[in-house]
Amino acid sequence: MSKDEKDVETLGKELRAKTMKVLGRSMAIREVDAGSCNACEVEVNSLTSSIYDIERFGLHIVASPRHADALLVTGPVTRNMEVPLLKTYEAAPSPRIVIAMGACAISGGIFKDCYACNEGVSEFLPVDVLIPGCPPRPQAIIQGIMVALEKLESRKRGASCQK
Amino acid sequence: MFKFFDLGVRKHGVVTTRYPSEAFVPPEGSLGMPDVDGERCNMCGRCSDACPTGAISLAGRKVTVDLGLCIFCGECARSCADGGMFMSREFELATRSRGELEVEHDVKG
Amino acid sequence: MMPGPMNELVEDLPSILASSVVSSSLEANHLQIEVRKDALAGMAAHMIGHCHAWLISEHAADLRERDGTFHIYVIFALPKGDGIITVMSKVDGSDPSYRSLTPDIYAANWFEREMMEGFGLLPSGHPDLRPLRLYDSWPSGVYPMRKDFDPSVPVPRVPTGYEFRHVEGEGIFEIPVGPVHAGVIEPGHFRFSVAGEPVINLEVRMGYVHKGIEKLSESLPYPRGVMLSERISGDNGFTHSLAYCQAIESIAGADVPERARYLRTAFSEMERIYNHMGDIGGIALDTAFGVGAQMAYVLRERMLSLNERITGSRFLRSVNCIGGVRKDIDMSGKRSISTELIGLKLDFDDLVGMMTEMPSLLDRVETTGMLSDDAAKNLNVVGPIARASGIDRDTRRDHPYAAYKDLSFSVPLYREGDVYARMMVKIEEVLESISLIEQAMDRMPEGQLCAKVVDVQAGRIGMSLTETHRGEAMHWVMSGEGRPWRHKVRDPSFLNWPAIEVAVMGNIVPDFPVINKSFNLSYSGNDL
Ligand code: SF4
Ligand code: SF4
Ligand code: SF4
Repeated sequence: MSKDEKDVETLGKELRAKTMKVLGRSMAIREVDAGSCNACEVEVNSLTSSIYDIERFGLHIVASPRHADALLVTGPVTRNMEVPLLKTYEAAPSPRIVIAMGACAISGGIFKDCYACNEGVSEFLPVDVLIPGCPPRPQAIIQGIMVALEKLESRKRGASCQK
Repeated sequence: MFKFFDLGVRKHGVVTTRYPSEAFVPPEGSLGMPDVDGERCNMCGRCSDACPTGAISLAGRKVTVDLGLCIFCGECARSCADGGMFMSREFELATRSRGELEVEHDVKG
Repeated sequence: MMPGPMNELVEDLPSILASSVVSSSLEANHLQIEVRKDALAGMAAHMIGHCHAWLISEHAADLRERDGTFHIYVIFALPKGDGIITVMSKVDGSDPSYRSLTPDIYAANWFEREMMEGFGLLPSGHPDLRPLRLYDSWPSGVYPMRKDFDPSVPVPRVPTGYEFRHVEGEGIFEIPVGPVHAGVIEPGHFRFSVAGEPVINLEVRMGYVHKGIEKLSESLPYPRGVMLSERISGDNGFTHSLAYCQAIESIAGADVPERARYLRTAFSEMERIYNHMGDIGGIALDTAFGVGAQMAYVLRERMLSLNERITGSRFLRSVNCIGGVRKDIDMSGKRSISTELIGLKLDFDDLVGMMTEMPSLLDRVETTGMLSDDAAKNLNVVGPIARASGIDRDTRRDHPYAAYKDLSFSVPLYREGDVYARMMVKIEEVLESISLIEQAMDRMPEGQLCAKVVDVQAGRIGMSLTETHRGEAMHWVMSGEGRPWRHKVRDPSFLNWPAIEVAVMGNIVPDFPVINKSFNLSYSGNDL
């Protein structure tokens, strides 16, 4: 095994160890498009390709919000997506974290003055992590997810203190 | 079966990138975070007029860029004649609060 | 077609139509005919039935401030040559109704529903007047595209209903899918009616990502409109913004430098390659051929990072500007493009070799999701989907823009109309695109990148067609003071969505994902 390949291995182990520590298992992410222009979706799809391969960290993009630890929301939340977004959020078990990805999801971005748009996800849901970009590059999404993991860790600790 | 192995693994080796264990530097000219050079900016306000989303505000001796509004288009850097605003390649910008995305730059010039 | 025949077209009109013509004018290849409102439907039917023209768009503009009327524009492309025909009618503001085109031209269906909810123009005789995008709680009588609508005032929510088509009978089940899907795709609602396994009806309800882009564009100065048009449909942002820039340039009469035309061509093709790679990978993935899918995604990623190395943006954003382009390709850029393309081509050949020999894949894609050429013609589909169903249309060849006129390429054509044909069209188009980029790099002259465009006169109309990877996109701009008075965007997906309802018919539900992937339509571009 070459040195470089070993690096990938260690890195994978580290992140994996982190997810295992925080969740006791791998982390499930559900992507919700709340009105994006679809470039954000292209980048999320890139994450699962073998170039970025986030599965190696124990991060899964799952098909149902019911399996999700985190919701990755893109788009400014259009009028027609308000209800589906809230329903998806309610379907996810708590503690669930919300990641707003892209300028649109954070603030409405270039669409903030449209008549059928809101100014980002925070108008509807408590947002835990924000990933700026238009669209954020895949590495930036990975970094955002790492921030989210830290957040989840602190929240869990908070929850166990209360007990 | 072996054909796939051949094409997939033997021919290309490992294609997976090493981020985040190794730092990743985007190629030159890549549009990352808009940054301000406090020595060169003269508070002329052109960048803020050019910004399509109103992400830049000027007050006192401070230029504030709101990365939550920014669409990373590079208009501000293009409009700045004095080299005050430039597009850095910084991309690791995720934070936990909206407030942290408002980046303040002190202007000395 | 040369100007001569275009004039004859007016002279040859049947007398009943000829008497309704208010005025007509010919400018370069663009024939404009104004007809009285009662003859609009007849004229449109004549264009399709007699001249075999293709419908490009039907849309309205609110000009009540100027002459008290709404203008309806129906735009056609002639089947041969570069001819464009616009049939225009004025509809009085006090009686906003006209005779629907839909009974004669099925493809006008969604356009008229769009005008109905945007402008309140009632198409009499239209069979289906349900809202297209503004359902669920949109108050009646609020028409956002009218000029007196103020987008900054929030629109109240009122309870409204929406009726889906129902198929009834013994053993028939309905399966609602969406708007939030299992995969990472955009939101839309699909309602299947199945009898056992086969789908006997599919209804697609779009509009979930409707933002109000056309209205927003009316408030943005032209240079900002370029940025907005890059985000109409993110993955074909370059060709969309190119169409917008070309529309403005045609109003201003700007002369785009030769070098910029070649660069625009190269960038358009780079965009096509990465998207087609994604589609091909998607088809492989949905037929459970993971190795092929990953190989295609790796190739797509290589194209995306090539885009970034050349222009600074993975999605070729901030490249177009009105009058030309902003990013040059220098010697070292040329070199890295040509090395990358050579490598890409070799690996792509491997991939294609595998995919076209895999029995398990071929078994899933052959005769799946058939769209017959008749259906394709009636539905007026565009792009690779049309070319897979035997319709020989390609904007790059038929209405050349940028530098396509000077480059040679062929347009792949298949007749089967199934997923396989669509996959093959995309595969062959990738190879054509590689050759187009190479040619453009070779022949690109030295020179300026961007012409100064200062004077965009108000009250003029500019239109441009470009070929995105999904097919023909149209941007139509009526200029106002420093910004569009009306900006109509027609993404290829808007014409192609109704076709998926036909293609799915008779297939089993588990085949829907792969059919959908082979169409790969944009939700955002459709919903605007
Ligand atoms: S943030 Fe940018 S890329 Fe993402 S959906 Fe919004 S406009 Fe598109
Ligand atoms: S950054 Fe440049 S454009 Fe902006 S205020 Fe400073 S000098 Fe002016
Ligand atoms: S990059 Fe564009 S959006 Fe961001 S601050 Fe500069 S001008 Fe504004």
